[in-house]
Amino acid sequence: MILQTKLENGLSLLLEPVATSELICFELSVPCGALTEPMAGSSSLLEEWLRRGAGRRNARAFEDAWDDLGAIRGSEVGLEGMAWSVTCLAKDAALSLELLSDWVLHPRLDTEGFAPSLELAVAALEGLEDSPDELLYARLWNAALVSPHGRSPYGNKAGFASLTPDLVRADYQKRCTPIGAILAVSGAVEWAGLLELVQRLFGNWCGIALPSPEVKWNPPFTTFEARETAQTQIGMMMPLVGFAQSGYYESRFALEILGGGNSNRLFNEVREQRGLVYGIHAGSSFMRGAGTLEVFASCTPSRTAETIAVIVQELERWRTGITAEEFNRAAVGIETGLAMSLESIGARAAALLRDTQLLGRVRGLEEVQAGLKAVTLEAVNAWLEQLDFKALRIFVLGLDS
Amino acid sequence: MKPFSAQLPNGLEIIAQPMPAARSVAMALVVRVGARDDQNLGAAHFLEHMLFKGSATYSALELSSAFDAIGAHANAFTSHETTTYTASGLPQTQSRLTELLLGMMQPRLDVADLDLERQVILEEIELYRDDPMSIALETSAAQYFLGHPLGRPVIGTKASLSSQTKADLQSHLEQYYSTSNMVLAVCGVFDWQRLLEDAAEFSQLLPQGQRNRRHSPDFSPQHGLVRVQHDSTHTHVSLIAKGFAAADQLELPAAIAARIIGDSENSRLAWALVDDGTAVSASLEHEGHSELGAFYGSLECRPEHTEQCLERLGQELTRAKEDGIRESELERIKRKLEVGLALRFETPSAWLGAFSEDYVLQNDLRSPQEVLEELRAVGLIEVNAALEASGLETPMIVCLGD
Repeated sequence: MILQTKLENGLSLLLEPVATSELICFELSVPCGALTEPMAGSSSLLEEWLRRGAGRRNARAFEDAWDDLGAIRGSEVGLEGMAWSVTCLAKDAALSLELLSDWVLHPRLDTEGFAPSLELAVAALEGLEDSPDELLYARLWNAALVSPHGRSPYGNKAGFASLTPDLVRADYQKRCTPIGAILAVSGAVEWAGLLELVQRLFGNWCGIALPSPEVKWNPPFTTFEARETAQTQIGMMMPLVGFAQSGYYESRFALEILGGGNSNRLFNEVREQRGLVYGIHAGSSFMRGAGTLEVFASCTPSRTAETIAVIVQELERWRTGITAEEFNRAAVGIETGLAMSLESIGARAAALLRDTQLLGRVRGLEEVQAGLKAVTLEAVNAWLEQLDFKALRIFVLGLDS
Repeated sequence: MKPFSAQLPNGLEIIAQPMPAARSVAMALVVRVGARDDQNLGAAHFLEHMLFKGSATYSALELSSAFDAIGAHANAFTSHETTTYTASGLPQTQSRLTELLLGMMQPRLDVADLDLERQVILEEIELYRDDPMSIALETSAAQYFLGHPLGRPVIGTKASLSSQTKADLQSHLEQYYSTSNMVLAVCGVFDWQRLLEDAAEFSQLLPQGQRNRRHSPDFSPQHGLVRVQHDSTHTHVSLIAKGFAAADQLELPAAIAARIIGDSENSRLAWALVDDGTAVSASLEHEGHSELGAFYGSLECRPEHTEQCLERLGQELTRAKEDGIRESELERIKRKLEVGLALRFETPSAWLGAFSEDYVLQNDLRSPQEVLEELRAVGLIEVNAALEASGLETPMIVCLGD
C-alpha cells in the first residue's frame, strides 16, 4: 500500500511502508537541476557547497551528526533535479529527517566554503577529460538536444567564471523550491507520525514554480571529435516513447531484447559473434514528457566503422520485429526484475520518486503488472515498426581511423 | 538464521544462507583459481570468458538464452584468488540455475570462439588504458608485489593473450576446475535439500581430483614513490601498503581503520585533502588476500596540487600509525558499517559476495547476526594494533600524471 499527500507548499510526500525492514530510506528530489540553472555549473557548485554545514552545525559537526546515526547519505545533481538519498536504521528516522531538512532547507552557505566548492566543481568538470565514456555522454546529449536538456550537470568553464557567492545564494533561494519537490520514503515507519514530522520540518518551506522547458531536439547528425584515446567511444541517441506515453510498456519488451538480457541482440551480434567490443549498452532514459533511445559502445579505432555499421544494421533488424520466443523471454525478464526490485527499500523509494516525477502519480504494483500483462507480441512489433532510425544522432570520439 | 553447509562425496562444497524476507535466490560458483595461478598471464580470466561461449550441451547463445528464459542474470569475475560465476533469479528457478551454472564448468573451448574472445579481451585491455586510475593501480601492484603473483594483472597483457592457445586453457581447466576445488554459495529463498540433490546430479560429470595451489614465493613488500609520465588532465595516485591476510585476526580491525582514514565522507583523508579542494578525491581501504593483505589507497588531484597532496597523504598515514585512532571515530564508523550490513542483507545478490568470499578465503561461515557481533566486538585496542603492525608509513606510491 502506498500512502501519499501533497503539502500546501507543493511538496509531495509518498510512503511505502515495509514493516519487516529495520531500515528506512528517504529519497528527496528538488527541481533545481542543470535544466533550470541561470548560470552553467551553478547547481554543481551548490551541491558541493550545501554539504558544508547546516542549521546549528558547522560542516564537521554536521557530518559527525550523520555518522552518529550511521546513516548512509549522498546527494547528486541531475538534469531535472538535485537529489538527496539517506538510508538509516528505522529507529533513527526522525533524527535523520531533521538532518536532511537542515541540509536542504537551512544550509549555511558560508563565504569561506565557496572557493573550495568551486574548486571541486571545476575539478569534476575537468575530470571528464580523463573519462572518455563520460565525456562522450556529455557531448552526445549536448549536441542532440537544442533545449536546455542538452546541458551537462557538470557545467562549463565560462559559467563557473561568472559565479559569485551572492549569485549562487540567490540562485539557491530561487530554485530550491518545494513546488515540484518530492520526498519518497520506504521502510518501517507509521504514516501519521511521518506526516506530522514532515509538516513540522518542511511545512514552512516556500518557493515559486520554476519553468519546465519542453524537450527539443537538434536535427540528426553524425559527428566525429578527434581525441587521443586507446578506444573510440561511440554514442547514439534518438527520441523514444516517454514514461507516461502510449507504447511505454511495449517499449520495455522491445528494449529487453535489444539490450536487456544476457542474450540481448546487440551484445550477441556486436560482441559475441564479431568480437568488436568489450562493452555495449542500449537502453532508454526519461525526462518529463519525453524519452530517449541510447546506445553506447567503445572499440579500438580500426573497428569503429564496422561497429557502427553492425549496430545500425541491428537496429534496422529490430524494427522488423521480435520473435515469439524473444517476447516470452522478455516477459519473464521484466517480471523477474520487477519482483527483485521489491527486495530493496532504496529501489522502492526510487520507484515512488520516479513515478511521481514522470507521471505525476504512483503506479501500484498491480497497475504495472496489468500494464505488462496487456502487452502482446503484435503490439510490440507494431510499436517497433513505426521507429525510424534516420532520427539517430551519432557522436564518435577518438582517434581518426 | 544459521547458514547451511555440506560437502558432496565428489568434494563439491555447498554453503547457503537463508534470507526469509528476500524474494529471489542468488548463487555463486566459486572456483579456487585466480590470476595468481596463471602460468601464462591472463589465463584464469580468459577461461572465465570462455565458459560463456558454450558447453557440450549449449552454444553461447543457447546458454545466455537459457538464463534469459528463466529471467536470470548471469555474470562472472576473476580476481587474483578466485574465479566466480554468479546467477540470480526467482526462487522457482533454483534447480535450473544450479544446472546451468554447473553445466558451464564443461566448456567446449572451440578454437574459433577462442580467437573471437581474444579480441574481446584485447578490447577490455584497451578500455582500461583509457582509465588513468586503472593504470596507476596496476603499476602500483606490479611495484609493491614485485616478484609475487598478486602483482600480476588479472587480465594479462596483449602479448600474453596473443600466445594463449586452446591447449593452455584446456590444461588450466583440467588442473583447477574439479569439484573439490569449487564452492557453490547460495543466498536468499531456496530449498536446501533440493539444492543438495541438484548439485549432486549436475556435478556428477565434473572431474573430482584435489587441486592444491602452488605456494607463492617469499615476498618483501616494496616501498617508495614512482612517478609515471601520463597526459591525463588530473594526477592519479595509487598507494599500496602492508596489511593483513583475510584469515588474520587483525584483518577486520584493519578494514575498519581504513574506513576511518579513507571513507568517502567525514574521514581523515576527506578532511585533510578534499575539504579545501586540494584533492578531488582520496580514499583508503583494506583487502585481505589468502596469505597476505594490503591497504589500497587512491587519490585524484589537479597537477598543481600533486606535491601538497602527497605530503598531506603521507602525514595522515604516519599520524594514524603513530597516534592511532580515537574511540569516537571507531564508534561512528561501526554504526555506519552496521547500517551497511543491514542494507547488504536486504538482497541475496548483495549478501552473496562477502558470504562466499569469507568462506573461500577464511573458511569462515557466519550468520548475519554473527557478522554483526564480530563487528561490534572490535575495540580500539585491536584497531590500533592493526595500525601499529601495518606498513602505512612505508607505502608504495605510484603517481601518474604530468
